[in-house]
Amino acid sequence: MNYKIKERILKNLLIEITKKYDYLITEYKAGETNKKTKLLYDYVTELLNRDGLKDRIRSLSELSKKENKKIAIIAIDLDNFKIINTSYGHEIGDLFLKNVANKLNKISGLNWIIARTGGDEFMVIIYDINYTSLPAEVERIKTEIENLKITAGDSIITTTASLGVSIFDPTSGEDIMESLNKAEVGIYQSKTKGKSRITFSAEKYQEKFRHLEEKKKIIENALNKPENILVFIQPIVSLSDGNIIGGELLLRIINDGKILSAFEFIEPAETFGLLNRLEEIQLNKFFNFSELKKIKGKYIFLNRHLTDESIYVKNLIDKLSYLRKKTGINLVIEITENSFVQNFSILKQLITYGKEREILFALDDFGAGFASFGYVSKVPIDIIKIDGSLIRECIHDKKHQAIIKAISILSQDLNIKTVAEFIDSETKKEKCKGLNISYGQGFLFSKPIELSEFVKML
Amino acid sequence: MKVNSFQCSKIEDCLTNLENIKDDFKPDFFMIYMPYNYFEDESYKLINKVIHPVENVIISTVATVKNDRLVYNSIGGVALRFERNGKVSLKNKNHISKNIKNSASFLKNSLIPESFGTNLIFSTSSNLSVHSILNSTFTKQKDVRLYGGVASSDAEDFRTYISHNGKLIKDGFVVINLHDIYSFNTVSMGFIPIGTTYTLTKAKGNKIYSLDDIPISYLLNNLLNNTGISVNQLDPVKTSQIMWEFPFLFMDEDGYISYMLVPIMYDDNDGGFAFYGQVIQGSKIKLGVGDSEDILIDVGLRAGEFKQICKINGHPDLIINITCTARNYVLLSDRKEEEEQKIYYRYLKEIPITGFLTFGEIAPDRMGKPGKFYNETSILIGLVEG
Repeated sequence: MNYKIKERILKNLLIEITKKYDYLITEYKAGETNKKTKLLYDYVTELLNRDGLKDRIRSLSELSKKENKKIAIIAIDLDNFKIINTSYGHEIGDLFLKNVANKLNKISGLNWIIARTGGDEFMVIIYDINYTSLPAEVERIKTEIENLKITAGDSIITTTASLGVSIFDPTSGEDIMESLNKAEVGIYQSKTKGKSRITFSAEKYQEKFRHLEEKKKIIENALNKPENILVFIQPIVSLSDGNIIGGELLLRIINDGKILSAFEFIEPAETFGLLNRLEEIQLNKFFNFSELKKIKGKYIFLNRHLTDESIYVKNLIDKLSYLRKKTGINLVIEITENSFVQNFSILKQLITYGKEREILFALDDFGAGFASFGYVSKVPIDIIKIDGSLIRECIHDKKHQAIIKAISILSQDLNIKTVAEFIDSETKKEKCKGLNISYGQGFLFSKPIELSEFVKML
Repeated sequence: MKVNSFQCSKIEDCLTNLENIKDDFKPDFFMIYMPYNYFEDESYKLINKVIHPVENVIISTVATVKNDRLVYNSIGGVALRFERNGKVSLKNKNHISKNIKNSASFLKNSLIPESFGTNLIFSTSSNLSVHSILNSTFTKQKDVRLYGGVASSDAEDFRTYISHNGKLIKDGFVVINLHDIYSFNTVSMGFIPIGTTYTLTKAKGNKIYSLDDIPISYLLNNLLNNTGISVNQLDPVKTSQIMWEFPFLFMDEDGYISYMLVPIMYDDNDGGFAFYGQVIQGSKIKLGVGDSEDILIDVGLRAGEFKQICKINGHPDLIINITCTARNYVLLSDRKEEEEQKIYYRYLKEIPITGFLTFGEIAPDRMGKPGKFYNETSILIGLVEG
């Protein structure tokens, strides 16, 4: 062994000692926590370490057996981290890891466990996963990590991530550690496929994920060519006199000459953070419509997924308020029942903010979820849109009739207008009219149509 | 911005070269680097006569850089001619060591913000003063691009000079405002942090007295154990021979290594270990270790990084390479003193490179915090006219 090689090995050894020594010092200084707890946490990111994670998921697997809930295990490997460490030094590498940990913490839900399981490996455990939303959730994790940027002087440090995902099913008889290993094998497969990929251990999830990726490309193509984004509207009709009071704006995308309905791309658009851009184009196109004057005085319903991002929502309200004054069109923001319940306290403030600016609010899909009149009475909602599933069965199902009747009576007492969606027959229209529902929407009156056709109907 | 860089070994060739550049290229600005002794003989007057009335700065150095060539005892430099909105203005300050506060205020008022362009600063070898001035200036100021260096020389007393439009400065600096010239940079250190983090529990000026409440002599004794060298033998020459491969790496409060300094000597009279820069009590440091191999590995990484930065920010008109004599000394000991520039050139050969060796470097740190003072580093600055 020549002198230079020996010296290099000694240097490497010193680096290792340095890291270990710093670790021990940090551990020593964190004197408040007990020794056992300290050994379960990663000192750089303050997340659970591998031992800590194993400890937690063992008890989580016992709970899942009792409650019969599935657990998703998402293993994440930062593809370029070794290059970051080599190029910028391990202190800046550590800063990057802290940023990744912060990002994962920020996007995490209450049913998540996050851990740093290795030098450049993280794991996210999601308890009680939802089959339909998991691929989107995993894609969101990957996108958030890959969008993470830290600036080092004039350089921007980013990374791609390879992910492996497995599902622990308590009824399968499998040990959760086997599921954990499968997720890690998934990382390996993602890397061999060329990095920056997601591999699901179960084919059905892989299929759903492929579907999402395809939709993402379609949405991105549409955003690059806004002429492929269409504004459709479905008329809303007064049940008492049959007049069109306005309509609900709906997004459509043209792909390969075919018009795609919103349900075909809204979920991926939301997953990849592209929905706001689509909605902005929709709004701009609507307000640039050449015959906008003919819609003056009508009620235009805009479906918006309002979250706790209050700055974004306030900006939207300010913009709509300005456009309302400019055009004389009444603008109604539709909030889904679930997001209303989940973000109740913040939405309450935002709705008050909107009301002060003469923006109206409708609660969409009411009656199917968890919102009650207790919630509604505390917020100045203007309109309730009764969930389509109730209307669909309103002719024969007495229980549904009772629910609709209750919604109608209570709404009248609270001075809230009601809209019955999915009216596709005269009998349903008459039934809703008989139950004193204010307005109707559905194929009986009109399918979603282009703005120019809508204007002709007025 | 058009660029005409030059490098000559003889003063006669240099004068002819400068005359031709002045007549044919019609520059807006000259930046010239030359050995200290040329400031003390006729050469200085002759050069000033040739380049007059073009705005100029002349800096003493032990070696100049042009593209892949580093040449000792040469005269080098660059002439700039602005093609669009670029403009240059210069200010100088002499006798800076007499009143640091006043000099810091002068510097602060002389800088243009990043949105207006780039600032260069070149000083004489008043390292402690310059570092103190920078530390006073950059307490809050963040939106400034400032790069530069300390003049160097191989005089026995390390005396250095700077000249601004014929005015000779012996203890001061020149600030060059490059209006509408935008810039980006990278800093190569290349020394590996080793061991635990120490706190400077007693430090003043450029001297460290204790680390973690233990006299610095204790650490130095440990380091020199069985080497046959005692602490009180650490004079400037011995220190450069022994300690320049173990610079002190200063940590930012965010936990990364921000800048590094090399020691001058151990002062047996007061037990202080003196550095080529200001050491602030309470700072956290790590010891660094590295040799020519480590330095050149990092040079390769930084050259690659800089190439990437150029791709994002646009092709620069000129690259300035400011590199430390202490670093060059370490490379020289392994006969690799010209390798750094060759590596840079390999990555960036399509862009003209000019530069010189310094006794201290000034640039933002790795995370972009401005006004850091370094020893033993190499800085690349890309300049592009807006």
